[in-house]
Amino acid sequence: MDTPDSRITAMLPRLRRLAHALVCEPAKADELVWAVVERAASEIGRLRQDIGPEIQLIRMLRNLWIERREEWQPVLPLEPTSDADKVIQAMASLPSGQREAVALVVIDELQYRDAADIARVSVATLAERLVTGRSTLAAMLAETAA
Amino acid sequence: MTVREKQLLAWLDGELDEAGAEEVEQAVQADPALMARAEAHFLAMMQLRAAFAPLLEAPFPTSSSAAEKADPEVVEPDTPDVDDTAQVPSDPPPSRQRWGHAAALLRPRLRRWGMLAAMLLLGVLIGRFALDSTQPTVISRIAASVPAQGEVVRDQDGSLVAAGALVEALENGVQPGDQEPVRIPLSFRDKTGRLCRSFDTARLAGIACRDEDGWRLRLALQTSGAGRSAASESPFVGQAVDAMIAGEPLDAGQQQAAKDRGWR
Repeated sequence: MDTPDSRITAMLPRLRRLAHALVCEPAKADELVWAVVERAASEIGRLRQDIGPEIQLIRMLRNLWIERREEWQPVLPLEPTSDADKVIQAMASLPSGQREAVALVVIDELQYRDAADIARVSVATLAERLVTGRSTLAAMLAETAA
Repeated sequence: MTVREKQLLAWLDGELDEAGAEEVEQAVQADPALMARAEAHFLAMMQLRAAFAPLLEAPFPTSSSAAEKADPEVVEPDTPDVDDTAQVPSDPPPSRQRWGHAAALLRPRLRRWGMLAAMLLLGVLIGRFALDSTQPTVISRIAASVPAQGEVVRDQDGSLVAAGALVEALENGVQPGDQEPVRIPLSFRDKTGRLCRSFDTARLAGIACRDEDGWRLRLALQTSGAGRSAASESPFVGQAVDAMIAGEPLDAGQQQAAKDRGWR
């Protein structure tokens, strides 16, 4: 079965992972996914046929995140208790543009071209943000590992 | 060649064309400082993916939700009161309930996805390199530096080979009292005639093929710590077997015969 709603459903875990990477706060990230589900459910008839629903959902999620970014500012956990917490905290410390680039390319494994399109920047800008963001992360995470 | 950070990342991300990738790969292999930078980025990448990967497997909070009890079959996906629900401005229902509603909206296939996202993989080995016949050896070397895999794989001249308990299991089958049990779901011959076996340990799943030096890993997935995932259940191992296999998997008798011939 390859109907649009089955493809949306199949996308939920992936959207959720991306939302958590952007928002870095579990409850708020799930709110964001919920908002995407609502919007997708109401716009399912208007999804474009020429683009896969996956990219459209990711775009929807990204745009909702931008619209309500203030509300969904990451809140740094006081005391990271696990390795994953430390990673998420490091992500949360990045400026949002860099966090977005890392979330789309490293976490969601999008190609630069698609990620740049979704983030509404040029590929060159995206690549710059990746370099800055990932260099910061690599340094922070190497400290964690040590 | 001087490799800039941007180029190094593009290489790790699979964004370079063949010639560009080759250039970076050679530069990385020739320059320990560059190798160290590649490793730092690679490890950060794996840590990032690992941190968020459990979300792919985590159950959506639906099973005990109100919507589930309310029989999702009653709610049609195209029901018009979607918008009413969406616009409840304050005092939102508990998120579990809301997820339940999402499940009802997108019904009934939702329950399937828990099974879909079987296993996470610190994606790089598989997603961008391992299935490529020109698997860069440098990636294997980087992978060999991942500590949790140390006991069952090792680096041999830049490629990953089975070690310890994994060799034991691949050669002689699974011993009942083993501390870290290894499962061998499938044995088969690949298109070049080599004997290959899929395997599944607590931390690592993949495919190893026998050559003159031992069991060389053709595919390695690091499984997430939570719960054990069978290699045979991973879509990636299945895909790789499909791509590699010549004929049918070996049955028990053929496996015994292969073992008697030293897995050749």
